[in-house]
Amino acid sequence: MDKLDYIFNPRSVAVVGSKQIDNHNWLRTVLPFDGPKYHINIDKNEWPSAEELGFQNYERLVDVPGDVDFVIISVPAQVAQYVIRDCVAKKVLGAHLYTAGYGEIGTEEGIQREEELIKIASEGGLNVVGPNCLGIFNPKIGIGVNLGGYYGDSGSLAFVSQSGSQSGGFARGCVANGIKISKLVSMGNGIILDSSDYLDYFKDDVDTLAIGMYLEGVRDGKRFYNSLREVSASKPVMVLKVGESEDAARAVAAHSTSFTTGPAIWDAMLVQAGGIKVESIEEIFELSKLLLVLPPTTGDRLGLLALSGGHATEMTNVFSNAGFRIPSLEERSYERILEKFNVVGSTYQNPIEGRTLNDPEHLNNVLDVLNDDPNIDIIVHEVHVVVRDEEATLYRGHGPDLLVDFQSRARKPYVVALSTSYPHPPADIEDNFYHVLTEAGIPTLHGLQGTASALRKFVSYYQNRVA
Amino acid sequence: MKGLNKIVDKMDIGSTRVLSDPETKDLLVDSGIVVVETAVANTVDEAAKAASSLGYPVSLRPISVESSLINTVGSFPLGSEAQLRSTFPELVKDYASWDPEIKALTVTKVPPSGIEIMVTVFRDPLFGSVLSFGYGKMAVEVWEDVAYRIAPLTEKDCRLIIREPKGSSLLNGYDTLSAPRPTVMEETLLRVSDFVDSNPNVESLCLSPCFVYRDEVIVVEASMTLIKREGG
Repeated sequence: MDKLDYIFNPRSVAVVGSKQIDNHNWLRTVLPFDGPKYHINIDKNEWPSAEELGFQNYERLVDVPGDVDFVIISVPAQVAQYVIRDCVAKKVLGAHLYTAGYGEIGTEEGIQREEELIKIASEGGLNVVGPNCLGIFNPKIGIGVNLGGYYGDSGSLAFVSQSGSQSGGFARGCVANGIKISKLVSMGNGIILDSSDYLDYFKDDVDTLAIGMYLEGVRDGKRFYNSLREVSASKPVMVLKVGESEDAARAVAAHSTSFTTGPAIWDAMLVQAGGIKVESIEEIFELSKLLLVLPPTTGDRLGLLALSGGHATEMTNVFSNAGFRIPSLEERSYERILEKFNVVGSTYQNPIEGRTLNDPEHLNNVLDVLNDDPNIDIIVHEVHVVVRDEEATLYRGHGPDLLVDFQSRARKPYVVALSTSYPHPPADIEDNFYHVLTEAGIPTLHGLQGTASALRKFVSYYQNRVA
Repeated sequence: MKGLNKIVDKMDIGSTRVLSDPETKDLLVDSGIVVVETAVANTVDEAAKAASSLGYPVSLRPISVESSLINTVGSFPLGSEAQLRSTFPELVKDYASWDPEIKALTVTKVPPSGIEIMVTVFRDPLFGSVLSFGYGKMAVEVWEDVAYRIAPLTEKDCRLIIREPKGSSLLNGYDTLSAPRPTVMEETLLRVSDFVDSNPNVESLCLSPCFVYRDEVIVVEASMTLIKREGG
């Protein structure tokens, strides 16, 4: 069993230093967890309220009669080392240190405290998450549910973050985007367990299909490169590396203990290791929709379905600028399209658009033709949610069922691009359609540019893997 | 890598040493990297002798470890012994104004024009030795048209790094320059990478210019910095 598995999948949990005045946030974050739960506090005034929440109280960790796999520590920095020593004495298998006030504050005191912590933990063989972080979220077993914002429903995207707020925001953003998390870690200063350790763990984690990372820097560059290279050979890793401009580097230095190397070298390292460079958290959401759902794809010839003639030309422009080919179809395909197609006021070469597609039979026919045509690797369908006569539909008049039905018979990747250039329908109506499509397994992305950029990175990842 | 170890043995721990062009080339040749034929001449007679054995045209360059001089100064191609004999003392005098230590010059055979490339290795604080590649010094330094890879490079890395810069359209040949077989460049980069990987004392390396022909890459000028680390 991997040493990190006791941190992400503990059999028992202890929380040190929870307070009623904070609504026992640190107890509540493991409340749904099914195994033995302990509350450690020298202040017995905190005990009754903790007991009400279902925790067994002890003064010290070493007093707990059974084994403790994972400990969450939320005590002031001045006393944290005593708790860490108890963790070592109790032979716990992992400790998350929420406590801040270490290397990241940049003072001599903080740096000294961090060195002391590293010494105690490494001599005692203790795996430490943090310090200065929000720790672990595993929705499946109900660990870190305050951080993630939900539990019970787990997915296949893992996330590693050097920032606590980015990790919590990410988890909630995933909910909004219909993406489910396998495991998440806010790793803080990473003094014992660093980004490479988490990366290595997620490589072998059967619940995880893709990994996202928010990085300000790494401690051991060579090790990170080797880990990333190895993991990327089997699972896609999206890396958001901040601190690349001079101003950003200063912001990073003020936030964590990482130091920066040139952006050109970082970029080259990512390319060489086979990682996927992303520019924003939003891009991780968009890209994840493709990576988690679609099979590996190296073909870059697109069949495009557009909303209108103008959109068809824009779509061609945007997708070819992103490095895709939008080829002509086979002669036989055009014959089939024209059997059910009114060419007046339409385009059917590729992209395909036209009023004739109002007719579900015609639209289905075109989708099937693209599905069959050997010149096409991926189908991209631009849609727009409209409210007409008090009825919400996908432009032009179809419900999501038609798309969902096609998805079930599609033999190649089928991607929906929600148009952002028409006046927007009410957000809840668009959301509803979005979730219907997403839950049916259709990657549904926002905007032509965003879709093109994510799709490019998706295909490039697999191309690079086999190059 | 006996030659290199011999040099490092004589260095103090923590010290660095910049190797001259001929010293660097000797070490590269040991690693199977092709360099332009280069002789060292202390006197004009030695230069003339070397030139006649190399064959004209030749060019003369100062042997200097002053980084500002490396790869920046040198003579125009000299086509005859008479030309060489009149140029030699002028150059020695000229170079002395930059670096009074210069006594000897290198005599190199002027290679035919080829596609120019520049290869360097330097140490990144985070990722260790990094190799850079571009289509000539100006492309790299002025247009920043350069690709990087962390050492050691795999065959795939070599295949991709030469195709990454915009200048890689030169791989199709240009004007009178014939298209090289990409594998000859890839093999050279692999040797450079292996050389650096097996010699942790190499702190930096600069091969520029190198000329690429259809079946060969030739290093025209080279310099190297060694560092002796604790335990190294």
